[in-house]
Amino acid sequence: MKDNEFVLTLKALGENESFARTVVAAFCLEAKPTLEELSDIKTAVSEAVTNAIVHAYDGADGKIKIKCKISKNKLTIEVSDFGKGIEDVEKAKEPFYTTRPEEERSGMGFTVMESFMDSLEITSKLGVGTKVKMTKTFGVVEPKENFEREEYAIARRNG
Amino acid sequence: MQIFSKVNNDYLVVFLVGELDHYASDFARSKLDALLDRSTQSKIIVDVSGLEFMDSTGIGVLLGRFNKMKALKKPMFIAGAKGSVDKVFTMSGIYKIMPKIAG
Ligand SMILES: Nc1ncnc2c1ncn2[C@@H]1O[C@H](COP(=O)(O)OP(=O)(O)OP(=O)(O)O)[C@@H](O)[C@H]1O
Ligand SMILES: [Mg+2]
Repeated sequence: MKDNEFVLTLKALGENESFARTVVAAFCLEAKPTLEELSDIKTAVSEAVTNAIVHAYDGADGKIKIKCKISKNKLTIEVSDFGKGIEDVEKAKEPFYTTRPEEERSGMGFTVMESFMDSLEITSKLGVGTKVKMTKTFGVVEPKENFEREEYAIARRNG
Repeated sequence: MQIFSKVNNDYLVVFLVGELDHYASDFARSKLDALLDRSTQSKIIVDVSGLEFMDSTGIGVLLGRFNKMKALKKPMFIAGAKGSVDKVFTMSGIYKIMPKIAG
């Protein structure tokens, strides 16, 4: 499979959440992710895009840029907004930290992104915007499974 | 998304079907409130076996309903979560207050 990439700019509207995660999922298909990997990616993308819609522009008009790249079996996603920025990124990443509890937000978005993807990197500047970069490598065999396979191979060899 | 309910003895079972994200959350809140507010059953089961997608917005929606029902002393349970939906529930610790039960 050849390296591939796309860039997409969207209006920061709730209507676009489902579109954004579906586009990224469709783009990944070529790299043959498992259903579980695919639905983890959809969830992480939804978190990042929803944050841009809910927090970045305080209800005013704004844009979201999604950049996606696949190289071999590694996916890199960048979700950027040009909104108000995050004052304290480390604090924002803490589970249950939210600046909008009155809207029944749970403060779990960054925690979900972090655990569903292999890496999460947040760059933010007040008054300039926020960029969330996430990566995931498909088809990583768990060490335990590897070991079992080896044992199986040895067992077969030895009849 | 779609939400409907069914009565099973002292349980009100509410079924969440489709995708629960920020865009669907206003509808989910008002529909759930309407169903929960007029129910006379003493316990509530949220059946999510038909939920194909949910992000952290869903946690906020369910916790909000949980807090309202807590004031009425009506326990809530979650049934049927699969895949990433179940992972999001587990990660948030919601099963500690809305235990997982068989559907
Ligand atoms: N794109 C963004 N622009 C500005 N602030 C943001 C952005 N993304 C996140 N934040 C800030 O970081 C906090 C934590 O984000 P996180 O996604 O973890 O939780 P949440 O969005 O508040 O709640 P949940 O995702 O559970 O609905 C937010 O409450 C908000 O203050
Ligand atoms: Mg969030």
